[in-house]
Amino acid sequence: MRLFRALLLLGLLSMVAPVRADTESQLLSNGIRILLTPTSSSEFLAVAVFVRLPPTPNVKTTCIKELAGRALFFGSLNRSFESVRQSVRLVGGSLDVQVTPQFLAITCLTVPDKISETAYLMGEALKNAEYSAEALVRARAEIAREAKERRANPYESLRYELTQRANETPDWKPEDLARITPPEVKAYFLNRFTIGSIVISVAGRFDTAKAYRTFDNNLFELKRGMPALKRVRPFVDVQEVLVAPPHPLPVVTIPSRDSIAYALLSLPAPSVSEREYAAFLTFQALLGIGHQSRLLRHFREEQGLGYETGVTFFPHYGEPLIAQVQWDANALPQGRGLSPEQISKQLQDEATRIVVQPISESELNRARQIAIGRLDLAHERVLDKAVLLGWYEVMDTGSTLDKELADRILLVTKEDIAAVAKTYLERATLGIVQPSPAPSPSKN
Amino acid sequence: MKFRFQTIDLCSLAFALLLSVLRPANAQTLPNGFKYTIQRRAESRLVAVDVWVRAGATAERRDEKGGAHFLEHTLFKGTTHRKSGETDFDIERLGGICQAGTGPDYVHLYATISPTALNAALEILDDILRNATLPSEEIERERRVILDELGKYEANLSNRLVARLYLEALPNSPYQAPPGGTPETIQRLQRAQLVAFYKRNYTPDRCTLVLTGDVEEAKAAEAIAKTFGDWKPASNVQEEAFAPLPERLAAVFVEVEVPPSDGVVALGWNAPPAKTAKMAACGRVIAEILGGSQAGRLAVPELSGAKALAQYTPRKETSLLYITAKLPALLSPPADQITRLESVVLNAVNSLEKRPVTSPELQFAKRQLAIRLRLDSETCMGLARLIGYADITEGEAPDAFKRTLELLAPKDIQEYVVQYLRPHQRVVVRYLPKSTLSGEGKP
Repeated sequence: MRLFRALLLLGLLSMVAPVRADTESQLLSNGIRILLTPTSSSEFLAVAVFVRLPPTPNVKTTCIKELAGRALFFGSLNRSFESVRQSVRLVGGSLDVQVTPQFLAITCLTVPDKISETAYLMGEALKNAEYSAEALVRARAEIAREAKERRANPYESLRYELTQRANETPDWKPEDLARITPPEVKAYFLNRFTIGSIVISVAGRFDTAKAYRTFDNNLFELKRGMPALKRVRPFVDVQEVLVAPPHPLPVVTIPSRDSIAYALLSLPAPSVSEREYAAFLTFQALLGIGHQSRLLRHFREEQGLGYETGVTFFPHYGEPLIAQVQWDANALPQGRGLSPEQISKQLQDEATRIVVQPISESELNRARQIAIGRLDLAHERVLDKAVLLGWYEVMDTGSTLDKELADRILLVTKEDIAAVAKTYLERATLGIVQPSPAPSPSKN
Repeated sequence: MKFRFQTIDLCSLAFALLLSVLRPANAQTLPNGFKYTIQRRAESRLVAVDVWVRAGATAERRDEKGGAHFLEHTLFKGTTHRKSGETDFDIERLGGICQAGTGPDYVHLYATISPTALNAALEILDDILRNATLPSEEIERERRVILDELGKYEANLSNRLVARLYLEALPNSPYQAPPGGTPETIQRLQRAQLVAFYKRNYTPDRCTLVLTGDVEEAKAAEAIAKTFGDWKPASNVQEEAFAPLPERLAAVFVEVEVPPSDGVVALGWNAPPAKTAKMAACGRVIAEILGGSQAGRLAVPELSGAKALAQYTPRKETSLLYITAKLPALLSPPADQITRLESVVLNAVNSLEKRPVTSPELQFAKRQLAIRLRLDSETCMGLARLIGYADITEGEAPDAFKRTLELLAPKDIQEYVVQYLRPHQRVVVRYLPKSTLSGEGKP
């Protein structure tokens, strides 16, 4: 078995694709993928650990997955997660865990001399998470508290709801977590947190040899599962969905106590491993990034409406594309005579117009350059860099995509943009934060 | 199995880092008074262009309140060379987005772009700064956008609380009103006032340009001189001198009625301006030592779930060091809980005099501040912002601040406490649930 594993590792190493000059893609001695991107000028160390997890088919598995992520650090360590998190915060850093439909992400930003502590923390959790009854109680309480805080913020509630819908996450509630037992969570952890599903991405100031050794020393005992066999998947073509005549999209409405209103439009996005991903990034820039994007021109430049207008798209945090318009329903002239429903209809129409209204050459060029500019900005901070590279790797595109994506964007055509708009608008959802009909309370 | 390890000479690395920290930014002034600073970051793939204009809210005259912010929005609505939207389009086709912000001491316009686009970006910024046409119809459209912005700002309780604190603590000073204006002032402003403000304040001697990132200094300096060098300096505009605020002889208390779920309190003390480098650094250290409900002297069990946070941002002429404290979310707090919260916060501040800051405590705060500074300057734009803000407020640029910080001793902190943080010098704004008001002015 040991010989087989060694041969397999040798085979895998030969398949490791060369990545950008400053990133080394390697395998730990047990086959876990690790990306090392040293940046000598940085004064920080960023570590992103991704665990690829399959989408969950029902409420029960969704709850198990949620608890497996949330309680990952509760209880397997000599030093508690909170105490490490606190020490990281005290040096201006962060340590967070996030569960998305496709993966779990642990991100840590700290100072270089904390590399051993960080690797130990992550290694212990990935190897030996305990999932005791107490750990699950704490995780449930944390999830319930977050849900309560989210409910107090209509805008955050709406974004969350739209994200869940776009990701087709089964409709679970914090109360459902009570039915999940520690053995169920532990079994999920043992089956899913395996060598082949884990990617570690380290960026910032560190010595590559030392970083490799540190993570290897902390993780070599992890023996669950086999190394990932297929490292870089070819791009996938998505079957084109023919657009039906405009039809009413589903609408989620959340009431608000004050006069601040939002109209949102969420679109599920292609996976980064799909060929049309570059076109989708360009579509996003054309629709709502920058003052000369379609949304800002339509709402702000033409109507003087909407301060926080534009799009956000954070696929590496499991979010769909969300286009939005924000306005104050009490501002004069009173609501501009438009209801939230009318404004959300305009939002949908403006997005749909990309399919039907020709895109000019200069507009296309602007969108391409903005999309490329955003990629460059995502490399400025070491944590962003670690997350991006690790995400590419865990999604099976390989971190080489980092080098290729800008070139792919330059090749995007008007037809490509219209095609992705057509495909994904079909599955869009509208959202409204409905302002209070009465004037807002006196502002002091 | 052979791995490709890169060897890094740690000694060389440490030396290079030390040099990069000590190396001052290259500050220059053109003959027309236009200032610029270039800080190269060879490892960056981008360049941040950040132009600061001494045209913030404190430059407004009595009938121009809100004008600095209004103008900041309207600058992009056309120039004598470009129609409305064309300045944005020209920057965006270079891959950057031009953003802008208004504060009490400044307006700044900024974008992060590819180094190859630097000259084009400078030309566009120059056009905006010198040739904006401020068309009436665009002003009316943008007025509505600003009202949406202010609506969002004012819907946030903490924003309203801090704005009220400034109003009470810095009366009759140009710093008392929110730099963005209020819906009322924005509604009142007319084009003629914006034009007058623009002509008076957008002059080369009131500008500082900061470039950071992958920029070759000599070439960039040449491009700056070529672009901004022929901008005619303004005839001397007499600025009103800042009148020092009278000393506060007794604490000030204000109570405001709010909906039942909103229970918050803010305590503020007048704080030194940015130009008093040592005292300003002490203020930052004290805010750090007080910290918030998670760490520092404010992290006391008596807060029991409430959130508190100490803040101090040095401004050009005067500022506030303040603490906001909020009871746990969704709790409907009776008035006595708010006053209890206030006394917990006050005790934490008073402890600075009773239990002077120790050397380890000071070292810890210094380390945290230094790391935060590094984090803030991790991006090219972050660094440009720190340099530009320091210049505009006559404070210390990041490198100088690091040196001042390093030299601070516990006795300096004590000096600050005695001079600025006495209980009678405080201003308190309490936001109390309806029907629990105890009357204005009561401690």
